[in-house]
Amino acid sequence: MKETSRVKGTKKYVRIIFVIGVATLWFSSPAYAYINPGLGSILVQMLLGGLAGLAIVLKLYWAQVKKTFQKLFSKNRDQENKD
Amino acid sequence: MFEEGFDPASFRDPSGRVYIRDGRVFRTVMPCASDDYKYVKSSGLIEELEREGLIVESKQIDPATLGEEAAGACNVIEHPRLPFISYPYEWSFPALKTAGLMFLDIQLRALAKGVTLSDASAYNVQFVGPKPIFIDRLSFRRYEEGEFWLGHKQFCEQFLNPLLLRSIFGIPHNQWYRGAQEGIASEDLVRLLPWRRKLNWKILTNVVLPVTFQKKATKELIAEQAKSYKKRKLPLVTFRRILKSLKEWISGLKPADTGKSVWSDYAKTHSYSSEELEHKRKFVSNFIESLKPKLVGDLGTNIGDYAAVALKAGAEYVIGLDYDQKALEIAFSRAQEERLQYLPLFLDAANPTPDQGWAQKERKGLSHRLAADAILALAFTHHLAIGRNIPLSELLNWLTSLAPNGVIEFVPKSDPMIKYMLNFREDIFQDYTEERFLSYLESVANIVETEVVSSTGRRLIRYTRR
Repeated sequence: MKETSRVKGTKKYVRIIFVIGVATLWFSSPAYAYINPGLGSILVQMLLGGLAGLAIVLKLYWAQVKKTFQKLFSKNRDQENKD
Repeated sequence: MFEEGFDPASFRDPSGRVYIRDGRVFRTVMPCASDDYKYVKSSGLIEELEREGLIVESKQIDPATLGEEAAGACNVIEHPRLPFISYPYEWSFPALKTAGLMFLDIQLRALAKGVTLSDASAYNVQFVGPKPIFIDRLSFRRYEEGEFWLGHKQFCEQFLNPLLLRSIFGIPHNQWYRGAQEGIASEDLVRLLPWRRKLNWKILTNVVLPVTFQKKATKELIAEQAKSYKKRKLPLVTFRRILKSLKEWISGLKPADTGKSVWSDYAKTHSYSSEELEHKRKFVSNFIESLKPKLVGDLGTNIGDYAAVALKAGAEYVIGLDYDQKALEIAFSRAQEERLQYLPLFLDAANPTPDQGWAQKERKGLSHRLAADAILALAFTHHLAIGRNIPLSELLNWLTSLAPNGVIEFVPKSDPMIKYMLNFREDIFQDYTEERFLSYLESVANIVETEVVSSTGRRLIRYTRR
């Protein structure tokens, strides 16, 4: 009983993080749309199928994540320099 | 009626083709599909589905029966002919929903036998009465452990999205689906969805994310993924979970605009005692009894009152046509509950389903499919003549071209319904008189019998085409 409710809790937690993550990345500019039909749906299945998929999805957004962090850190550094 | 020879809708899959010969339906199995064909056969799945009437029967026959068209095929199978071929853009909401649920059910049961479906085309589902039946024997193939559900996108666009369009926005899928033919593209649906809906887990994973990921993926990423694609896996348990959750979700969907239309609710509030209605029923019933038609086309079928009368009087199968969504939904539920050999379909008679698809041959127009022995056009013609300005002579030409025999109702201008229709418009219909109606009809058909069935002067006319 305890075990299942904990699993359910974790599942819900993962979902929430996932939804927030997707939401924040939503409006990013579209990359090239060269695609064979259905790849998007396969990627979602990979994601649902396990962590291996998560890495691929992260790759989709990697450049952006990197840029965001770079900006963030450079801002911090600027801040430190000022201080 | 489908023409003889190669069925132009069966070009997509190289595993086999469909041929019509002497009115019989044959399917070739090409060598590339031979292994899968044998594997699926030995799995026992097909017999099970056939027994339950979920898939059209397949009988393996001597390839010589098909003659030279069987050249190169390793097997030839014969299917029984279905009474009528319909398309998802003609189905009502509950029909599309029923078809989608059956598809998921078959996919789940296939997986349990180590079989999967190579696609998720809604055109592979047909109806016999209100009961869906799967028609493509060659869509079944061996399931490889860990493979992805390649039909997911197609399933969403051909079943799920059209249902969501109606259940979220109250927009019936028919006209859009007919235009696009391959369903409602997820990309289009996503543009309409408000934020709150996009964050719904099921909509997010089935509709929104596939579109987002597809847009995001670069050429490089695709090339990289293609290399490692074979190694990646969708665990069977996840595959099943996706299917089950879709099934649960879809079975709870209902139209946003009309709510859940159930025939039994309607029956309680509908009165059958009217003497005039009884008159009309008797006339229709006599007509059907004397003709014993196999296929009846019921134009303006409404909730199927006269379809039910025709079936009771001995008609074998009735195709109902109407553009009122709520009426179609009630009619469909009624056919299900009363187990009628009756399929109500969406049709705007002023703009009937055209020939369309590849080479304009893939999906046939209504007149090429509806080989009716008789038609019923009750309380129908004035909606076209007055409502849509169709000239009476053309209207009667068209109606009589649909079937050699029929019953048509004439509604005079003095009828409250026409008065209502003319309330806010000029009466430009000088031609619309009973006399003209009968004389136009007589120019193309013999009038067998007529009878006035209402105090407002409505007249039923039975004709036989010349």
